[in-house]
Order: sequence, then structure tokens, then C-alpha cells
Amino acid sequence: MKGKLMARHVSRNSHKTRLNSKARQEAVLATELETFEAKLPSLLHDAPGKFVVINGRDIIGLADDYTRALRLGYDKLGSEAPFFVEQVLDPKVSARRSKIFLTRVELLKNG
Amino acid sequence: MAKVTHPIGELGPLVRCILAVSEERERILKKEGKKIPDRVQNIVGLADTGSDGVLIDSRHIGDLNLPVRSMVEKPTTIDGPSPRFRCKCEVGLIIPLDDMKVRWDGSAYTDANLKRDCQCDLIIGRDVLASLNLHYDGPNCCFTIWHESPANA
Repeated sequence: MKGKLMARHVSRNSHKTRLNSKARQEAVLATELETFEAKLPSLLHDAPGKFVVINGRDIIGLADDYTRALRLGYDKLGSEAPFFVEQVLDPKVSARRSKIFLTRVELLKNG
Repeated sequence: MAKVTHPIGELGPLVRCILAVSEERERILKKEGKKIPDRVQNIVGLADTGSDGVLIDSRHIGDLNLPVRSMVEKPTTIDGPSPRFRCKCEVGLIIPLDDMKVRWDGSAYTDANLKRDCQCDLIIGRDVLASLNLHYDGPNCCFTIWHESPANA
């Protein structure tokens, strides 16, 4: 019985640690995520498909692929500073693609 | 051209691979004289052409100290849109193909819905598989995976 209780206690603690670390990660990139969302309309106009690197409220630069974007971020900010990397894509188009895929899955299931 | 043949698991083609920090992170850590986290060997990855990206069990973020590079709000799952965030981490994936290793730097969604009884820690999606060749040999219940280097192509 004692063993069972102990196991439950340990498992609860590990769950809490995971939640804490997740909340911390969300807090770390919250500003960058806000900046990305605010700048997305202009980025979609000027650099669709490119990878944007953001630190805080600043756009560090744009790159053609993910690896180049990482290189840019590390070269300018070093290994410690958090930076955000995301491809500039229209969220509406991405959502539409998922819907088409789901429709196909539905058709296959019904067929 | 290097080819290696793998068995088929219950869920599909399984590949034993290595998880590492990305090549770019390794380069900057070396430059700054910092310790590079040890690679995680023998990760079982499931090759899944139905997945558009790599999914990774969140346990490995801590092991490798993988930096979070982006987030997906309300990811869509089979149960519909989820109210949670899903982290996109910077990761290096090394797939040994006999005498050569294919290295891929990219982002992986963490906290994938990989159940504890699942055979794999990682789902290898189309972003990686697009650079490899896969051949499924049904009668022999195995598949072959290979990579053509630009020199051989």
C-alpha cells in the first residue's frame, strides 16, 4: 500500500514538473509569438514561404530554409538567447489543406 | 548508394535512429566552448508518410535540452482542435544507413500522442522521408530505406 502511494506521489510530481517546464517555455516565447502574429500580414505580403527569425519584438532576419534561419539566429544572438523560427505561411490556406485531407479520409471511410 | 533493410513493426516500418542537437546548435556550442549534450542512441522511429512533420515524445526535450523554436496553438488532433499549445523544438535526427548516416536538422512537434505501449518514441514524417527512398517488400515483411547523395543522383 505504501509502495503504491509512493508511486502515485512520484508520478504526480513528474507531471507537475512537466507542466511547469511547459508553462516556462510558453512564457519564454510569448512575446515572439505575439510579434509574429502582429507582423504576419506584412510578412505574407513581402516574404511568403520564407523562414522568419524573431527575438522579442525584433525581426532578426529572413531565410530560405530552416537550417539557414537557425544559423542566422545563432550567429546574431549566440546559444543562450531564445529566438523564434517559423515559416511565413497563410494560416487560412494551411487550415483549408487540412480540411481537404479530412474530407478525403471521410470519403475513404464511407466508401 | 547505401541501403539498409528493416523489419516491419505492428504499426509500420520502424527505424532505429539517433537524436541529437541540430548541426547549427552543435557548431555554436563548440564555438562558445560549451558542452554538447550527449546524443540519444537507439531511438525507435516510425516512418509515417501520413504525417507532415516529425513528432517526438516530450521526454527527449529534457535529455537533449532541445530549444523550443515555435508553438502551435490549438493543434488539431483526431478528437478535434485541442486547447493546448504544442511546442516545436529544434532537433537533429540521424538515420544510420549501413555505412553512411543521413542527418536532418529541423523542427519536431513535441508531446506527441505517443502512448506508453506504442512501439516508437518518434514519428518520422514527410519532411524527412521526402529526402529518402523507401521500398516496402510485403512478402518478406520488411522495407528498405536508402538515400542518394547528390553525387550519385
